[in-house]
Amino acid sequence: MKKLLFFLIPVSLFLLNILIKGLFIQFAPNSISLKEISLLNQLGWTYPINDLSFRFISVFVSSCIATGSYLFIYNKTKNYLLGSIICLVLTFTPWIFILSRYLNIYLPIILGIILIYLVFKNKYPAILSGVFLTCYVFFHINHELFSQFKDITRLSDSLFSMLDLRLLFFNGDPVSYMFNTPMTGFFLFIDVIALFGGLYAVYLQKNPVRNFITWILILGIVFFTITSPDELLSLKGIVLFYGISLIIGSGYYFLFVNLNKKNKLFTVLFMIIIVSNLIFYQELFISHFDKHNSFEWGYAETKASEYIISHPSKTIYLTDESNKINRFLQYFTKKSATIITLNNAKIECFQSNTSCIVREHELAFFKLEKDQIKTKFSNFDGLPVYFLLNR
Amino acid sequence: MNIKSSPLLLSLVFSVIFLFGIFLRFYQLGSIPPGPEWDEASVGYNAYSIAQTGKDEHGNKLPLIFPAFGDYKNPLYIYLTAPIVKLFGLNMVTARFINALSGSLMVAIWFFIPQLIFSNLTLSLLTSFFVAVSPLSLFFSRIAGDGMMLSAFLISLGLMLELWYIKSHKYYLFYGSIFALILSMFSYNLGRIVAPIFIIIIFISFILDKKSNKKILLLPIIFCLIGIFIIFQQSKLSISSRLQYVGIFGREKGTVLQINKYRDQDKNNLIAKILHNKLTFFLITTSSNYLSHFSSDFLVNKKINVPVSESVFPPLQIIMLPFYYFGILYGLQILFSKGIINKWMLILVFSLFFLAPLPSTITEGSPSSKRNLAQLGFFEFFTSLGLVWGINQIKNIKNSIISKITNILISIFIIISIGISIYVFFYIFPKEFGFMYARKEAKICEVINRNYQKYDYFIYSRKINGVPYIFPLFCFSVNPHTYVSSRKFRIIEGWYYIDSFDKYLFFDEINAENINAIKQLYGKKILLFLNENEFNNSIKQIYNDKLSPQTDPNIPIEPIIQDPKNILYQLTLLIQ
Repeated sequence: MKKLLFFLIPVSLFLLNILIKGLFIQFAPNSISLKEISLLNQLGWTYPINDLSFRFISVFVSSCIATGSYLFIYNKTKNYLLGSIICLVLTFTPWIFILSRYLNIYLPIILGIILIYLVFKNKYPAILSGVFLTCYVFFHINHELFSQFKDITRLSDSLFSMLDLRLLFFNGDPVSYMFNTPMTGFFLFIDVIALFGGLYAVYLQKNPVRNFITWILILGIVFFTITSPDELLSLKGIVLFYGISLIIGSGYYFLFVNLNKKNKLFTVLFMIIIVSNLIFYQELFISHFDKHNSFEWGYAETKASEYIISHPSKTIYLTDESNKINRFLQYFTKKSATIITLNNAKIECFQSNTSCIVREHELAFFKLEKDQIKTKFSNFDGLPVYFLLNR
Repeated sequence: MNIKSSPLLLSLVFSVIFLFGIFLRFYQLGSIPPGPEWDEASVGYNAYSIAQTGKDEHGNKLPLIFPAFGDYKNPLYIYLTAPIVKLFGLNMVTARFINALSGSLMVAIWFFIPQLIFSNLTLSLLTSFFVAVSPLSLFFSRIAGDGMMLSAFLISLGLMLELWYIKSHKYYLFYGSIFALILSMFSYNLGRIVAPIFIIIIFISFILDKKSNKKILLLPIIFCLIGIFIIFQQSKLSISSRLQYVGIFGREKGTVLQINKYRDQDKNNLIAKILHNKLTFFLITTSSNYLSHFSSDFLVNKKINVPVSESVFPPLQIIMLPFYYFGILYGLQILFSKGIINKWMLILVFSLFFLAPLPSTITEGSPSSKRNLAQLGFFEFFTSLGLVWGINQIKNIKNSIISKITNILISIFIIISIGISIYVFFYIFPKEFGFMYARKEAKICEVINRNYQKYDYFIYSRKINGVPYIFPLFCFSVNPHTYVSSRKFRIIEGWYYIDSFDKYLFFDEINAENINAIKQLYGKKILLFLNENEFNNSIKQIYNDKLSPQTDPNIPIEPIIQDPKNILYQLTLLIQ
């Protein structure tokens, strides 16, 4: 039975991860982003329009992170429940849930650290992880490792701002909405209780994973400091978020065990609160994420590209301001539209079988109001971004 | 000689800390931070008016609440300031005196609170020292504003007396505790939220205490009833309108608009109604606001763009942050451990600690350092507790050299960091943030003081300051009778707009319409103060109408304050 559990639990957790993180992956987020296009171009990957299945790479990596964490925690503690809870936290928690649905080069860092800890258990895994992390950042993310040290005050301010409980559990990234589910932080609201429980359990009680978690947090701070100051907090903070997730997982375990000892009813109530919070979060993600954030992704550009592709006989020009569409067009078709200046556009755009796509503020140049334009390419929230000019 | 075994040495160390705390609060009290800001001027003048006539600036006899600008100031600070002003005159020092005194006494109180709970001298001295040098405490001890520091002091005093009562069972301490907490409700609005809940908790602890004599509960209940009666007597309108104004529950506030937005996006379906409603959203907003008071951003980052009555300085130094968190956790560990003797003391400490952010939680602009001031002392207490815990952990390290070096390094970092913060407070802050305070108003006072006899009128507008009238009242200690009898005012939506008194005229803005009004003051010599915009908009008309003795537009007029954030012009007008 024990042997069966040994295999059954991680396999089930992995499949659950794939299922949860991969569910509706074609629809939420509902468009490809510019950074994903750049990364796919680097990988030499082109696919038909509207197919977002490349995101399963992230789902897979993220599921490996959750399952790998289970394996490591189980190895350290021989505690199925603690390992499973931590794995579940890494399945549902918003920061990793959204990053699992976005092709990125950040998640492999955490996977790398876990693999190092699993393989080099007793051979200074923390130091090896530090070396791996620094090399990874240097070669793949940011060649100027120490650029942030030029302004220590800004660095410390941004680090302490990020560790704000309101930001972590309620607001999320204050600079960019890209990975920000509305009214949601990097973690669920209820996780804050588990965080305090976890801090207590990890640091004030004897805990076999204390060193591991502490090193992850230290590596998180190192990662935060050597990545570019202009990078999004959702990405700069991922190693720290991973460490905090481990504490939260330990906290849930601590709370469940203690509540169960007092009264099973408390455990049930606590579970109900957690599930309610999860439902609240999932509803926000599924119904509101794209409406809230579509301007940060590429919904309007995808729609404009679709239009250009579906009108092959037409000559469609772009202006400098609408040039972003070309990046999407090149990804989808390997072709690009011609860029023209506004002065030329005045003549060219109104020829027969010719059109131009311009931005809202450029309409004034043509003495047009946005309501006069029939074909518009809008963000998912309905806000028009590009306007098609033709005869 | 060990401090623990020598009462003399202990007294000496404590006295040094206490005196240092007093010194830091009273050194250049009148000029750091620069002032007065309008609330200080208002509090000071109302105290002066009470001291001179027994009436406030509006002529109300011994009011229970002071209408002031229409913001209804709590009475205790003003009444306590009145005798000081009577004795030493109205100035910045006397206006700020009570808060400075309260801040100084906090240093002593937060020596006794840890001592009563843990009887640990290191912990008590550390807490007291951290309170003495806390820039947050210094800031609020050195502004008059409302009686924020007084309120925080009374709450801490209430806690200390209650802890002392638990230890000694001397009933007068219990009375004192309840009395101090009730007084805190009349000092600043934070007391009105924190004190009543804390009093209820104290009553519960009293009732559950088998040793307590239940009969003595009668007098505190009478105190409470009197307190409630006075609060009801105070304008109900003022309190409800204030909450509507600053609270998160007001109509058309962000949260309500957010709910509507999400419901619209969900086409108002059943799920939307279940998930997106006032209950869930207010729960989330208040939880988020509440937690922000325990967040590193609030605790250690400087606040640059804050209103003048909020502290630029955070409650803790960066080096103290981990100790603060561990102090809280360690305290909770002690609280939940079995067989602990002082359990009720710790329950009361934690209750007050967790209650303290409530006033800031339910208002917009959370976290607010002034509305969260009841946590002052707790920051330092838990930091010290964490430090004591940390030092004990370090002592357990087998290698004694490493443990000694770690202790020394931590001490050096803390001392350096405190030293820097004190330097910044006294030397950098007044220069860098001076523009936030009433620099223009102080300059106007200075100019008027030199030229009072030379002019018939002094004119400036609400563009220079929203409540311009209070500054000459404060600067020149204008006789309250003269002021009340000569003033002309309007009341708009509960706010007082003073348009003139004595030689002073105040307009909403100096513009063409008001310059035409000024032109009617035939044969009068007027000193006009203008901000940059008003100057640029009016100077042409002043030249055209030949109102100023200076008639050559090619000779530039130099501003009397050149600072880009505070440009101020003065112009003499002779109306022919």
